[in-house]
Amino acid sequence: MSIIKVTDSVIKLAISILFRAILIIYAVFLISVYQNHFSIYWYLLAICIYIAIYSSLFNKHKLLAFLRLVNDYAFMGIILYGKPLENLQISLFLLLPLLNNINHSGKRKIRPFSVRLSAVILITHFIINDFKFNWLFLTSIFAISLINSLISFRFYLINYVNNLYSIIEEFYRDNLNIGKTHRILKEVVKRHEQNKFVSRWIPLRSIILFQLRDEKGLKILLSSEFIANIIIKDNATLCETLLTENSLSNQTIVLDGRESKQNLFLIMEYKANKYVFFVDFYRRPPIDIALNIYVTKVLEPLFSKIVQVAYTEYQLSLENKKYFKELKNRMESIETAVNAIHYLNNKLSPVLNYFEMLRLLPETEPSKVDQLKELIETEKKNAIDSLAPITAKMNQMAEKTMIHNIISETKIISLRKLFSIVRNICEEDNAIQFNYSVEWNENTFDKKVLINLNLISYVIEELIINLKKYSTGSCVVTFHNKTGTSISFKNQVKNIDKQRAVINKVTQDFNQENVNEMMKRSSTGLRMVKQYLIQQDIKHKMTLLNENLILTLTLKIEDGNSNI
Amino acid sequence: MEIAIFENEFRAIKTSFDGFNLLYFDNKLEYKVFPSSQDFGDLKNLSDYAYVIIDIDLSIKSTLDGFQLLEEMKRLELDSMKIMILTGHIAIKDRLKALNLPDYPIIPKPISLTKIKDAFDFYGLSL
Repeated sequence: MSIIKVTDSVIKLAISILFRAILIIYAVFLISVYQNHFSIYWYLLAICIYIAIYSSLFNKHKLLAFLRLVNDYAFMGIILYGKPLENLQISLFLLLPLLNNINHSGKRKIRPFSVRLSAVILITHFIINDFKFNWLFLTSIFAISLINSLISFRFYLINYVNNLYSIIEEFYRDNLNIGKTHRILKEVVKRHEQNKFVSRWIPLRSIILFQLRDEKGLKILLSSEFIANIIIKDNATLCETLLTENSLSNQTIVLDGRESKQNLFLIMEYKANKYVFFVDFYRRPPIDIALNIYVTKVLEPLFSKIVQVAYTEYQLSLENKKYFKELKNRMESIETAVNAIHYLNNKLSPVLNYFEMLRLLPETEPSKVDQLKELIETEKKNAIDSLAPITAKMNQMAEKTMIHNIISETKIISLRKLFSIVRNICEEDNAIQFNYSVEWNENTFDKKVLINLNLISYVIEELIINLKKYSTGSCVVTFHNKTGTSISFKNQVKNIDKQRAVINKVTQDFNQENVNEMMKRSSTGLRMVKQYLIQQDIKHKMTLLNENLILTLTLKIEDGNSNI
Repeated sequence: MEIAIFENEFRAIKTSFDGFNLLYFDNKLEYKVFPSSQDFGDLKNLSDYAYVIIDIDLSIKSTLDGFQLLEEMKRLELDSMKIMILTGHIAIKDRLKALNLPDYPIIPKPISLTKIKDAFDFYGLSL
């Protein structure tokens, strides 16, 4: 159930209670002003019994909801019995539930002309009017019911619109539904058709969302039904017109062999992209003005939300593509390494075999020695011939690793964003207690850096993993402003005396200017971190100060616009 | 005694086989080398050979790679022959197991005559 419906249910329950309170207050008013048939104590008892029965029937449905109504009128009957019914104030009391009918909190559908309610009112009136029937009273019931119908119709339309708008909220609530955005349009059409009244006046059949591209024309993004083939008469002219207009109607289009002549194109812009909603109708909507109202007040606001959903989904798919592109690069690197190993294995065979034969020579039978010596000579030559290709291949592999550019794409982000990334990653780690010291102010947060978002997250994670190896479990992250814009991680080292030599080596390696020297000794993770920091021109330094291992990253501030 | 060897870079390992043939088979082994599976022709004729040695990483020009060749031999009910695998991948045994193939002896690359001998020992080295 959508939030709107849930809220409405709660409000109706509150109104139910308030309405009964109004009934009781009104009853007390009538008792005090008019002459009463029973003694005051009977009325007080009636009020108590009424409240008790109402409490037990509160928020009940079906038959029990009807009993709640009967309870109301039994109470009113007692209050009004013996009083002049021709008096407006008294007869109005009897009509109050009819006025409140529109707020009925039961689950049954609200009927403005409720036969059941009208019957109960008439029966009650008949009984307390000395079993006489008053036709004029029937007129009052009719008039109020008519007014209720108008109100009910208003709610009916509001409910219809809310039902459509809640599709998007429900769509994302149900396990994100990423990749299934077409279901939104399908659901819009389905809910529209479920509303018999609106769908009779607006015979909507299907909706298609296109993206309008300058030179490539219409690209289908979403559709309420699967369409394999779309043929647009005068496609080029249509696209040209769509670039300049806000809407078009009744263009000839063939959808999977079916010709559509009653239709509407609605054009929208979002994030510098042009989107076109194609709305197909079963037949021409009978009233133009109704269609215009429907389009401007219902479809356009709804479609503007759907466009945002489609755009978000598109952005997510782009991120996925980037991820797989980077993954592919990694896979290609692995494949290159595997091929190199295979090559080297073959080339090393003569070298290995040469030494094996030399080793076996002394213990060889005399009759085979000469032949073996010939083979040894042959293999010696083969081994020598292999060395050059082996060396060349190894150099080639080493060179590829050294110049490997690990950054595929960068963007300018604010330090505010970078701050969030660093803090979020630190907070995800359960092994270390992070404390933060923030010298950055509003001006600093607005500054920009050029960064690859995926890799910076990886770098921070990798740095934390390495800090954890030596940590007592606490780390202070400082966002510095005083000596340049930088971030430092100050980590208290456990067993410092035992670890000192190791940590000195790690810091020495990490601080190497020559990344190739570092690559001989350090872990893969730290090597990648080093490469990234160098390529991003982020100055970095690791120091061991007393019992603390401190890593400082000095950021290079960019001039540029960030949209993050 | 004939050995069928499926290997597209035999030149690099020929001397290893020559040395093995000399020291342990008195040069009585005859090996026929097939750079690709299709070079052999009808695989049923593999039964004419005493041993079959297969490089798992046959050239991409070969219709069947090493594993496919083994599976085809299994289909032809030749999998109980004396088969040996030439490879640089140590984890090959897991793949053989996954394909429900017998545990053939491995001649790991880079090879030497001693490694060839170790594989033949699996079947009881003999003339």
